[in-house]
Amino acid sequence: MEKSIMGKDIIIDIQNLSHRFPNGAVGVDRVSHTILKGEFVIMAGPNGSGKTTLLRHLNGLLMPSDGDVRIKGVPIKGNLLHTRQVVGMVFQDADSQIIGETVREDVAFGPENLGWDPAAVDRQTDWALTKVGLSHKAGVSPHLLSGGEKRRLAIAGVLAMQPEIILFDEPFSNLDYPGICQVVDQMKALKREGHTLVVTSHDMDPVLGLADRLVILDRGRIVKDGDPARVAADAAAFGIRPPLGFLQMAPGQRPV
Amino acid sequence: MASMTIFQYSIGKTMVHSLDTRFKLVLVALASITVLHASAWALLVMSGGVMGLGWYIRLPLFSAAKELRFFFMLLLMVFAARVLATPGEPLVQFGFLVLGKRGLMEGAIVCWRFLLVVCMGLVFISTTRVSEIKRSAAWFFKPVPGVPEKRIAIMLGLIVRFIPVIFEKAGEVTAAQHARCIGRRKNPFFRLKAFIIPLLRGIFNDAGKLAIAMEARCYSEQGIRRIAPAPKRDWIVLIAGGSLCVVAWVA
Repeated sequence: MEKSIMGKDIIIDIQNLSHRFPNGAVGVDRVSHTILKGEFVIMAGPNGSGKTTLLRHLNGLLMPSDGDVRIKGVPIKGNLLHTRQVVGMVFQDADSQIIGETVREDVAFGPENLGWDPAAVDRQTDWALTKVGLSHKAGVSPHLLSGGEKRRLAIAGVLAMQPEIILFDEPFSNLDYPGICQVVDQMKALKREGHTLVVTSHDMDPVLGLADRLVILDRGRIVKDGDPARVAADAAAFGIRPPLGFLQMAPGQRPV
Repeated sequence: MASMTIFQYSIGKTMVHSLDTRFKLVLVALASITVLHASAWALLVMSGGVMGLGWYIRLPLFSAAKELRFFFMLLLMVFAARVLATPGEPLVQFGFLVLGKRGLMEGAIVCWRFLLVVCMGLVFISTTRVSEIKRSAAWFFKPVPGVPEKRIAIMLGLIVRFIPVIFEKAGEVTAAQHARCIGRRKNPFFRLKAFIIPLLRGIFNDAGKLAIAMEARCYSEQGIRRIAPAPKRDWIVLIAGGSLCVVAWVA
């Protein structure tokens, strides 16, 4: 059962979540947090602050040591297939998540895993490729794509599974300026279409203007949460570089 | 943009690319067994055939030779072992080392056979998608009772998927070590250790990341599509190829 706040459905509900690694280190420490449907949330924090650990709980890649995560009101424990279909995840290293021999084959990987019939897989694959503007490269080897294109391919691979929530783990790492622009434009389109986006990043610049909320994590705990402009002003105190804010401009107006 | 190695599928529209993967596997297996039994003349004919195929599918022969350099070193060791271990009429003698005519001939033939098998594998790998190999493996294992054919197929697919990754990592590690003057170290064991440890660490790291990414995209054994029946043309190629192997074996 989905709960709501001021008429907006809670799509991600994290309650008292803790995660301890086998060596005893605490990755996430008693975090409670809710994300509303259609929200764009940035999770920032220094290295080792627990951003990726928290993100991986939202897709069921990690299970809580304590606490609970609910996606659309459904607990992730015991409902992994539901979780992973509703929550898509784009990883930091695009190269290591490429599975297919061609762009098309890579996008089809998720829908095929869901056991959809071949016609539906083909339809979804074509749709996702069109969505990210890679239809013309469907037959190309993914290893020949540029950094930005690889990231778009990863987004297409997730979109083909029709998720409502998309998690981005450090989406701008190792990307050049055109690559960053491509990913930001893709995020804008996803937000416009009503997807819920959660982005972890050291670098808030590219997405600060798009975000509805900025959350700062430090040593596994949420230490700031609120309006992006206001929270960003305190970022430096937690070892995060404050934003410069030029990428929110329209593509034609950006400095080249 | 990542560099490509030749040990991976290269997109093409040749008949070899479109041939049913099950038939390709059968033909490669048959030809490999034949190579191990064929005479020198039959080997010559088969080598011509494999080179012709390589040219037809536009396999970059120079790059292939370059990437096989470590394999050539292995062949050299096999050749030396064979030459030194085979008794026969001596041709040259260096102290206690005797190089016989029979040893040289046998060493050369053994290396030739190994090289031919690798070249056939290369033609297969560069014309066959991993997903097709997966499906074919699942098809072959399906009738075997007690064998989880889909799981095996996925594992095979992943092994093939990792060949280019291993080559790329090996290239990166080599370059990084040359940048720090590894060439000045003469101890081969030190060099080997310095190469193997970061290579394995990198490969396991990538394998871990790939496993997590697959899990996030609902990896399951359902994700293997059924194979369409082979067209008549593929049957003709299979019968013709199989017959040639039999002829080469008995010749």
